[in-house]
Amino acid sequence: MGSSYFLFVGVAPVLMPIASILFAIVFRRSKFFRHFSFVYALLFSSFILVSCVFVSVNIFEVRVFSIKNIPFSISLNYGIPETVLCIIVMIILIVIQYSNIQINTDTSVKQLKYQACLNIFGSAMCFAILSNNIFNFFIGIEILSLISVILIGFEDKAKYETVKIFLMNKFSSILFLMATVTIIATLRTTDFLRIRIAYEHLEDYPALRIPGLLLLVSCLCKGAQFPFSSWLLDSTKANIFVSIFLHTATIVGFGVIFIAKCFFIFEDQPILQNIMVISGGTTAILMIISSLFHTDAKKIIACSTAASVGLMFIASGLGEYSISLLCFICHAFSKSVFFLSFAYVITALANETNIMKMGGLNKLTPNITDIVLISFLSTIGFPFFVSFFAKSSLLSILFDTMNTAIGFVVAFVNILSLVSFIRLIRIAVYGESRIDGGVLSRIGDIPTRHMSATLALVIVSIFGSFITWSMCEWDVLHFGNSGTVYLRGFIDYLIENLIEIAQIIIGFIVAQIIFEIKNIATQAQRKIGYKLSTIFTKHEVTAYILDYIANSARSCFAAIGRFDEKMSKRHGDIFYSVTNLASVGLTKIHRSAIHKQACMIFCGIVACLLYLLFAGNQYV
Amino acid sequence: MYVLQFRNTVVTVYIDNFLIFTAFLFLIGLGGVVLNRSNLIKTFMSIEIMILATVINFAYMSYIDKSKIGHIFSIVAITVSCLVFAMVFAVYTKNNNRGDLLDDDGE
Repeated sequence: MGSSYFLFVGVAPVLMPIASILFAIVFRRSKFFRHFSFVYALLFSSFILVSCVFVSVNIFEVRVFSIKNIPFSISLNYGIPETVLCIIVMIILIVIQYSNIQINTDTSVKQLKYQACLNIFGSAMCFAILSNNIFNFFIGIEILSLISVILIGFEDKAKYETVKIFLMNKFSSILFLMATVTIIATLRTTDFLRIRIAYEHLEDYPALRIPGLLLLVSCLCKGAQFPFSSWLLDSTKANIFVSIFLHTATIVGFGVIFIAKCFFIFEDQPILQNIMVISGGTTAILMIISSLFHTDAKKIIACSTAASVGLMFIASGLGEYSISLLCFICHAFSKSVFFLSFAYVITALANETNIMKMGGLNKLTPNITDIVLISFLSTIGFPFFVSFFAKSSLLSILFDTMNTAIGFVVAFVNILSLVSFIRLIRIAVYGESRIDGGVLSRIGDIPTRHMSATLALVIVSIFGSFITWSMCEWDVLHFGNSGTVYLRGFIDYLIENLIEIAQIIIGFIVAQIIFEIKNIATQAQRKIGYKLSTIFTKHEVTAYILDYIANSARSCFAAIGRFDEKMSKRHGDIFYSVTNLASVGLTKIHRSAIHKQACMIFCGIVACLLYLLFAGNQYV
Repeated sequence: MYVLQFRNTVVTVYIDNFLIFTAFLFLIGLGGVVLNRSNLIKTFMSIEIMILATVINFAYMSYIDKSKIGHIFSIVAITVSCLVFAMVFAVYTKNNNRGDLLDDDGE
């Protein structure tokens, strides 16, 4: 593979989303080409990024553009952590674009501009993450701040909020520039690798202690941490789909990503690490308490986002940068599902965000209610869901440090976030209906086919525990580590556990087929006006899916159980099968659909616990 | 030349007139942001002065080292910041339907 191949691979993920804009402008008269050029460009980018992780066995660097005798270059570094983060950004962006296309049927020019901005946003994010010198990084974050301001400004009401967010971003940029001046004046270089080598001999360059503080304040500002956390709540004025992107995978997490990327700046400076912990802890406590008193659904989720980012800052302050990135990835998946599910609720309620004017959604919109429940479980770190291993890793650091204050903060924040989410769902979904009569006539359940992208994200949020567990095990998310060891280990792991992985994939396919059959049956029912068999009712389909969730969780733990040869897998299998059979029996006894679902969930959990107990797991 | 000592660390700082000038410029910008609470244009101009004060350091550093890195960084930083300012101002103007676009309190 020559250098041209690497150049193509390096440039494509960043340039494809931008190229799609030109394509969409040329074919703007065709709705199909206009909408799907955005989505397919992102899909192509993410495909290349995934192939970078699996095909190439070494970190590679692509020098895209440079001028002779001038120290200016645009170059991208495809390390494992950078590529993984870019993949996550792309996945969430694809889902948001697709959901936006499905829900918002507005075909005006404004919609085209809005989608183009989203694509540029993803491109700039990838550029900033993959950059290997300060110069490129600066360009990336400036474009990010510019596009975020434009995206928030699409909402006509958000005029003061736009300016406030811009001022915060500019303050952060000024601090970044000041830190850059100091670094370049001291070291005469912009390359992250050379800066890292210099920071390893910090005693030779005492002036390099100054940029650390400036960069930390800049990161606190970007990450909406105390005392700069107010802008995050203001950004909820934006369109709900923009909010999802801003709150989950991009701007908010960028502080964490930067700290992890430049961990060498903060590593030998305990004062800065203490500031990180104090600021993160203060933000987490303040925000999670304030989320208990808000009545705006978007603000409640924004507060919990700031609290989660605070926990990531605590992990970074304790020197566990890889765990903070793991928390970021889990947060991106789980929170984007939660936000998306509420985006459907808010769209169905004609942009009503006050939870006191919601209620009774479990009867009006059962499809959305199911997704809200699953996203709730994945957000709070329920066992076998995506955030479970991230939260357990965070707790394991606390046990290592034995710091009572930090332990109290983390436990307090986690418990209160649970209370906050239960309050939100209790009032907005299961509470007494307080929806206005005018809105009630227009409300409708969003069809399953419109939620297919979200369902993909839901599946990731459920089975993502399998991926996150592997990330915990091999410590892949540490910037600067070689990717070779990880990839070999991962491929060996895949081959060893091929059967379990195949089982999960078959589970996905079967669940999807059941969904499709149910859709076809419903459509046929409507067309011919004849009542078909009621076997494939909606709630039973949900029950089937829950069964597959349990099945895949079993597969995950079967994979874990293989490492310990002493434990008997057979007992676990027998117990699992018996409990699943019992669950099927219980669903047949109960007539109510809710009871059937409850039985399936309960039996699935019991089955997995029994399997853990008998087939073996290192955590039990 | 000034020598600063913090615990066991000794930092030697070379301060000449140019750095004093940029620091002064930065303080002017900071003062503008802090003191002005009503006019958006004044706030933007103050922030731009702060950015320029920072960017001049790049050019000065390049002049001393006879390198080009500072020049290029300063040109890019100025261009990007101008672009961002123009965009933000455009968005604010679009969303503000009042006649007095610039004064928030309607002065």
